[in-house]
Amino acid sequence: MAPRLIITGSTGYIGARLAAMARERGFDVVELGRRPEAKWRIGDEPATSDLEGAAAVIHLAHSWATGAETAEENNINISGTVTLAKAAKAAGVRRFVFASSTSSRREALNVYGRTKFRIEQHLATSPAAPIVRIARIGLVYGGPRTAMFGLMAKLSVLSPLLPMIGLSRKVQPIHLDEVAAGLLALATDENQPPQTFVLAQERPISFAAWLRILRRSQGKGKLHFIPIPLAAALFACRMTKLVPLVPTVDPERVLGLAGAAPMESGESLKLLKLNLADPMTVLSQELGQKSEEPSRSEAGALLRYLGSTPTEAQLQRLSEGLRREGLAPLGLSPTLIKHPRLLALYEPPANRTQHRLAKALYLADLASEPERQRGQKAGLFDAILTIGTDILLLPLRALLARRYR
Amino acid sequence: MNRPDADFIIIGSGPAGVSAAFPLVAAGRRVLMLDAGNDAGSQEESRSARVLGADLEALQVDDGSSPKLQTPVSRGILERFRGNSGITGSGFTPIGSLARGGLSNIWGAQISFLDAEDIADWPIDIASLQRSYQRISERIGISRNSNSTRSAHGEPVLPLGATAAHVLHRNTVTKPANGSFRLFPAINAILSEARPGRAACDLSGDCLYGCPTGAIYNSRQDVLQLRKSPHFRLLDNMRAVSLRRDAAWTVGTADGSSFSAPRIILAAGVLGTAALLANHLPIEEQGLRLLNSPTLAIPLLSPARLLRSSTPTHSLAQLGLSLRYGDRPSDYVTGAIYEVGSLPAQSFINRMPLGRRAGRAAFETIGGSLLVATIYYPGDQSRSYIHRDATTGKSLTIRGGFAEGFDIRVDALKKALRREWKRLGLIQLPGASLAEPGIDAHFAGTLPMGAPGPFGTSADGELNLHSGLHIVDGSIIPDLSSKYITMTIMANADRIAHRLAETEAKPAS
Ligand SMILES: Cc1cc2nc3c(=O)[nH]c(=O)nc-3n(C[C@H](O)[C@H](O)[C@H](O)COP(=O)(O)OP(=O)(O)OC[C@H]3O[C@@H](n4cnc5c(N)ncnc54)[C@H](O)[C@@H]3O)c2cc1C
Repeated sequence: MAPRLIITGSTGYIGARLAAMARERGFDVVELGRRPEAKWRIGDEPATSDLEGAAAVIHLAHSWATGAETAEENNINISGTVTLAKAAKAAGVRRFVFASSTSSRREALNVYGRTKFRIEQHLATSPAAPIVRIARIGLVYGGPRTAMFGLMAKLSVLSPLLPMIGLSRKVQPIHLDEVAAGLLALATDENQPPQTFVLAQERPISFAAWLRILRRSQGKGKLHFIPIPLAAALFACRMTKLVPLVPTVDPERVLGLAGAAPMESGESLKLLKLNLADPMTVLSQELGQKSEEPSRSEAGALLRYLGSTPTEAQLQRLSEGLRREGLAPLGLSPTLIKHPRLLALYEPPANRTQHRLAKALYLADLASEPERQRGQKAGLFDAILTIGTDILLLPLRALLARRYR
Repeated sequence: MNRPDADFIIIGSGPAGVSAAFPLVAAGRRVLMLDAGNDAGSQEESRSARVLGADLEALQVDDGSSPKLQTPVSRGILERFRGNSGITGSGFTPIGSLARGGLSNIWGAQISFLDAEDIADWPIDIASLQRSYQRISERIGISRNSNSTRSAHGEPVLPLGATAAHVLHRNTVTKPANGSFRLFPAINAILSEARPGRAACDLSGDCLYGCPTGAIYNSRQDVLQLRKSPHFRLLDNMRAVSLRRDAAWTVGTADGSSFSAPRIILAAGVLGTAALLANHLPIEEQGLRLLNSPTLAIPLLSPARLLRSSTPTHSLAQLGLSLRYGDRPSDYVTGAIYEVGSLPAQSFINRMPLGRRAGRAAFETIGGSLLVATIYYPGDQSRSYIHRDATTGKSLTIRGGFAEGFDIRVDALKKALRREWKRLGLIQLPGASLAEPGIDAHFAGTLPMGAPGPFGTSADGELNLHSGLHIVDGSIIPDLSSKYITMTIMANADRIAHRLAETEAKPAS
């Protein structure tokens, strides 16, 4: 029978990948937590029947419900984790893996780091201690562009100039797959010593350098920063709460970036036989692959706008041409991709050869040339309409063309 | 001493080189041809590869030069010369090739014949040139564009574009302003009937992308013919870099090989030949004179043809024209008229102040009624000189310019032309442009036949002071008329080769 593995927080960024990997490797995965039929929430006493017979529990769930700083001592995450670990021990589970963080410190600036540290402490003094393995996880990247990773990937390509705090803060990235593999090893490998493991790149890099990697791997150029003092950032966060319609930014997140010291991870990686890949290489592959999709749909939109029904060959040629001229992705909005005719609103005159959209349309025109039927004419009425509209819209387009310059 | 590699070494496989090779090979002389290029032709590739390049090189943004010089074929033909010839331009675009077949890979295939008046100053008689014209015409295959409604007298014809036909018709029914303007169906080196190894023109209009049927003459085709002879040998990838004379001539190549023969025939193209001879000529301060034809492009609209559909035809010149606009002998221009509708739309749209979608609609609607006239002046209207780099003494720079008073003559010409356009029912559109010297690629006159001194050659193209070194390309054409030059280069090379075959070393039996 397949060994059973219990995972809490299995719908999260790490949990989802971990559950998938575990299943792939033949485990019988039980997801505990936030699912429609779930019987357990962090803080609850789990049913012994749920735990019995499991090889390990991997605890990823974290409740953000207790925001108030005063609640730190009786934070539900602390009591909930200890309760779960004790129940696991009682049910005869052999290992309890707790996902902590490299920001885990007694004096951490943010509540999250301090809470993780407290949980580690409580676990160590609880009756469950003999089965507990702690994994302090670094800055996780890769996979689906959600959570903190998704936010950073988006931020890094937003503009070549970013206001940012904590630029010199050192981060230790690790790929999602590597984290999942490490957690799985901790959960299943009998021979791992009962100690705290660090899952993170050995060599820390500055947060600024990390954002640059994210930007470059998405095919964009240099990134410059305007450093913001922490106090100003925190003040700005508070202001977001007061201003309607602006998304609020949790000061917690800001504080998380503000300060931490790197952790030694070499020994842990060796024990877990993890050979971490170079983030730049992995990201270029992952993000590059992903950005092919938008660039293909953009290619399709450009071709359709010019009146051709794109063939596979044309799409391929154009995507390649756009990439080589540094025009992919152009960043066309989903609406434009769906309704290419609207490009008429944004299109600059064809002789503005430095304009990105004008260039891209020229390439699209050229890419469709080999298949073009000679002597195929648009009707006169259509032509007059198209040209007339073009001229009438000129002032509006002069304004809107900026968007894709 | 070693046995020479051949009786003649010909450097260059362009139109001049092959034209010199045929008579020699036919007379049983051993000919070794060296060419810097190779056989990497683009003939049988897909349309996509021809239009966009095997590596999509056409998807590089428009560099602003003429559409013809921007296609992937052209880039492939011209680029090595740019990189390797050591020739740069200042106010001049040096156009040359280091590819098998030379510039005939991308030429416009327009044919002109010189008459007795044109060669009055040459040290040869017109009859010998005409015999050579005849031989070359038969070999390469020449067709005339003809109005399909008129009967042709059995001569090979290609259909004339509908707008060009309309203009030609107007020319016959309206009275010319004076007798100085001539308009006629263009004479092109394009096959209208298939020949061994070459298909007839399929009228697909793909001419700019390297004629896939082989209907447009390209001297590569002649090389294939020549190779059938046991007396002929071609070595590809052999870029000549030095010439040395002891008992015989020795050619050194870029890869370190050397070949010797009693006689060398230079056919590397005017610029290629100048580069090879730079060390043998006392090019001083003044520089080596280079004749080239200033060219003018004029867009025209035929309102009567608006919204009419076009006739499928090739996309090279439809009509030929000539105009005498003043009293001086060189107030004479030759030209051609192209139908814009059969050219690729992109490069026209790139210059429009409309969006691309509208630009395309405009092009498709009126493209069929648009024409472009290209006008060539005679070479004496240019003032171009080849200079040697004073410090290295090696690399060459061509400084381009126009003859004195040229701008005044341009105005006189434009005025005369406007009268003719009006008579033909054409509207001259804004955007006429005079090209930078060199773009015309009609080069001549660096080492003229019949001239004395170190820069002259004999009537047989033998360079003065260098016996056994013959030149057969445009370098030795003493003056450059406004007419298309290649047919004459080929005929002259044929003429010289016949003379050499008669007078030089009989074949060793
Ligand atoms: C776009 C364009 C359109 C044209 N249209 C027309 C037209 O319509 N009508 C017309 O009459 N003319 C036209 N021409 C001009 C015509 O192409 C040239 O006149 C003709 O090709 C000259 O022939 P050539 O043999 O002298 O030289 P090229 O064609 O230049 O051939 C030179 C040969 O020598 C070889 N070579 C050069 N240097 C070396 C070296 N160092 N070692 C070994 N080999 C070497 C090259 O590889 C090449 O094969 C046009 C030219 C261009 C570029």
